[in-house]
Amino acid sequence: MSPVNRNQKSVTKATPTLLMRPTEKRPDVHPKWPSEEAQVINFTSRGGSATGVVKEVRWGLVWRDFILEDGRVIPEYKILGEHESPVWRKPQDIGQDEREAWERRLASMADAGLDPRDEEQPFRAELNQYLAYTYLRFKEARNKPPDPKWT
Amino acid sequence: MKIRMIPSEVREEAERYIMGKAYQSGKQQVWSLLSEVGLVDIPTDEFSERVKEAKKAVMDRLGELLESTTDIEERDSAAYSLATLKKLETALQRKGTSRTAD
Repeated sequence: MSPVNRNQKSVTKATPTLLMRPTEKRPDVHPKWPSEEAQVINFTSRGGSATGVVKEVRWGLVWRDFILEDGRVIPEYKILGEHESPVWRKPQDIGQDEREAWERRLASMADAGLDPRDEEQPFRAELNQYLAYTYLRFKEARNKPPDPKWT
Repeated sequence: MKIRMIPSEVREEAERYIMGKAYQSGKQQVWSLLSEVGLVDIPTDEFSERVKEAKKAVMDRLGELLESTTDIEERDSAAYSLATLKKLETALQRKGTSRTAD
């Protein structure tokens, strides 16, 4: 293994959150938005609509999450206004490493006493995606033959 | 008769467009499916219930996998997921109790 490869491996191990793939690295979808500039978004919230400044966009296990500068996590499907349709991942696209990193993160957030009932917080966002992904991975896979449109 | 060849870049663009449409169509089905089972935006008071349902789905699959001698990798990963869900369920129960006490 070359020195470069060794470095890459150690970085991935040290920072498991890197396993949440940034949007621009997905080869199968090429969303044109959000632009790289700081962007204010409007989104639906429990209390109506709300606004926030996007800090980062991350792929989850099923959909993309928009991380705001104040730490709130907004799933893409809640964003209002004109933009491209939300993009989704297939359960088969999730590798063992990514899934296990996600599970470890959830377990440590639960151990830390975080509550998924706190609105727009990372634990809630990650647990919601994990449950959706688990449903698609197990229940739906048992009930139906693979949809050719997925592949 | 002269046959005009379609330039490769035009053909590739058309293929990408068609594949993209099929992909989006599949995604729409997933959106509808997840919405129907209440997993797109889980209401605050339904997380415990959804974790229980997920646990059941994993246990059902694990039961199938335990009967077969193949799929050992899937069996291990299902067992790992089940352990995670149990941990989450316990944490949610603790949280539920402490909120009720408040």
